[in-house]
Amino acid sequence: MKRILVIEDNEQNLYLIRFILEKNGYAVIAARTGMDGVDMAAAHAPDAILMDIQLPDIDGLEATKRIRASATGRDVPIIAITSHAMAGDRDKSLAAGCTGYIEKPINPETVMKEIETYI
Amino acid sequence: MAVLLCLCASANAAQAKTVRVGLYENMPKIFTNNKGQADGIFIDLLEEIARAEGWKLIFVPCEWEACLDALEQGRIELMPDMAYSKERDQLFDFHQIAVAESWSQVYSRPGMKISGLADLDGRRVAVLKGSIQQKALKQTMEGFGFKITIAPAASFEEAFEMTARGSADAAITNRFFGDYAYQRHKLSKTPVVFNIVPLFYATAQGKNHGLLDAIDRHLGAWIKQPNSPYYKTLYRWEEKPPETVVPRLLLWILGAIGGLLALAAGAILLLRQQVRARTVHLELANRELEKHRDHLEELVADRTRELALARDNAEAADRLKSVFLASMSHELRTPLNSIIGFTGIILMGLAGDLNEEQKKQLNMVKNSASHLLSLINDILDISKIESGKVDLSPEYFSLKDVVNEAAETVTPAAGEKNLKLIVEPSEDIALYSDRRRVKQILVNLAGNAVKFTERGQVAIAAGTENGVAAVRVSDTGPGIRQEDMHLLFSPFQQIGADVAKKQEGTGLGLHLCKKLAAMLGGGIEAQSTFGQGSVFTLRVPLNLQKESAHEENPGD
Repeated sequence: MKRILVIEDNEQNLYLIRFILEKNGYAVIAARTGMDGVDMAAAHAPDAILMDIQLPDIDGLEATKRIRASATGRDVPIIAITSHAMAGDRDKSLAAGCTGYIEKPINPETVMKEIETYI
Repeated sequence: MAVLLCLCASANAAQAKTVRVGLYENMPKIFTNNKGQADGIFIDLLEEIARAEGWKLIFVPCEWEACLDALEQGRIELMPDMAYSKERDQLFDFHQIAVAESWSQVYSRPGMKISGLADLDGRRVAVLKGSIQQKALKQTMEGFGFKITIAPAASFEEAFEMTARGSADAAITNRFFGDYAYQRHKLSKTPVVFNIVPLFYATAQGKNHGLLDAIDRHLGAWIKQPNSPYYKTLYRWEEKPPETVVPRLLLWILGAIGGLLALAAGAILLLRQQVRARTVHLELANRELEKHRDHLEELVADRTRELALARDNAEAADRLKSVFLASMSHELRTPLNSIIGFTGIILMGLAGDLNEEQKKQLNMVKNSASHLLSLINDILDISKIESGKVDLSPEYFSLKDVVNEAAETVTPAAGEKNLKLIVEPSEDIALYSDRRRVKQILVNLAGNAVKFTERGQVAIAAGTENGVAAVRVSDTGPGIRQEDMHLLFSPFQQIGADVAKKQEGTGLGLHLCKKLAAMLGGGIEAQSTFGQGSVFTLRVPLNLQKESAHEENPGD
């Protein structure tokens, strides 16, 4: 079973993503802050990471950079969760080292397909 | 003169202690002050002498002519301030040492240029009626062949008043009065002087020589002492004492020369005074100017501070607005995202089966939430554009790709209505612009076309026109009435749409598209034939940077 680390501070979003991933046969581990996410990425070596951009401590861009800078995080797919309205976030997340992005609001019908193109 | 010199011998030893003195008004030489007392140069000196001599002075007020009569007839013993003249010498006795010299001086209305007697030709001149000035002036002017009109005045004061109010061009007074009073009347002192005369105390002819001797004795002594009552008195009444008091004998010998000298002295005095006055005036003006300059600098500094403050406030408000927009965007969207996500999950049956009614109702929730999200996004987009906060991200991309993507987005909706969606084949065009914005506009235009068209087709054609990219979205929809065309791009205007259609759009789509197109340096044009269909054309420059970025997004 593939393990996906979801770094997301909003409980409802986290629940939604976890629900969809688990229904689709993935194991989910979660972090609510950027720092926790970086630590868990190193500790659990997930198969993929879903990264929210707006986080309470370090943002998703900074967390991505730190994960990429670590030995274990160099090649893991990191998928940014960006807001449709925040156009700049997509370019910034790719520049920070993300593999791809999905846009909020999350469409349960299509989101798995999008995620699976990156992992 | 002879009388004056030789009759001293008969000086009466039993000189009356009481001396009646004629008191007329000729400020500052002799006058009644505001306490009703006799005052002036001649009175001060006489009182000093009287104190030394033990005289009791009784002042007898009288008009000048009456004073002379009184002196002649023995009703007063002494008359001060008498100018020597041959005619008067026949009637009165004078002492030897002149108290002061007087001359007649011309004072004019300001602005009148009088620098010589010739300038008085044809003028109206105020003089004291029956005065020595009147006589002297007449003689002098006639001697030169000039004509003047005499305006007789009852007093020097009145002569000055007449001049001040313009009923005379100039006034002539003795220099004592004139220098004392001309500034008060705002008159100008001219350099024109004439009729220099020594002034004395006088007694009736052959009477009271003891008074005259005593006066000469004191004056003679005082003149040699710098701090004597004589100089103090002159100093009190004039700004400075006359240079010297020339003994009377010499005066007559040096008459002509003295006259010239006095004339020159008067002129110099006047010039000096003018220079002084001008200097004072300039200093005042200078100070005034400095004051104004300081004030101006202060004003400029104040205004600069105010403007800087206003600018800081505006910038702070602007920052606040940006922060507010960003956080509102986040805060509003987060719960909506949840709503949309969870209804999606439930609708997919991931959480269990739903009956048809539940599906229908949940779909309504989902659609409403999506609609609300579009509204929020559009409003935020518009306010960002209006506050200049939109960051364009220009990149190179294929217009063909974007057109295809936009078409794909609306394909399901077109399919539902059995509309033909045509992307007309074209050469590929490389655009350097904001890909996402271009796509947003095209999706909007194509979406509108599909939404309003019930049968027929929607066609999208891309090409270049006069060096700009042009994408034409045409439909076979209901078209727009000519009179409604002007409302097309206004916010919340849905033209010709029925109630059901109104539910679908935000009413902001075209308004936003127009703004976005303008931001990209282009525009949107609409053509329509009512009942046949509409054509919307988006035009954007091929290269955003070169052609429009500096105008549309200067801060980018």
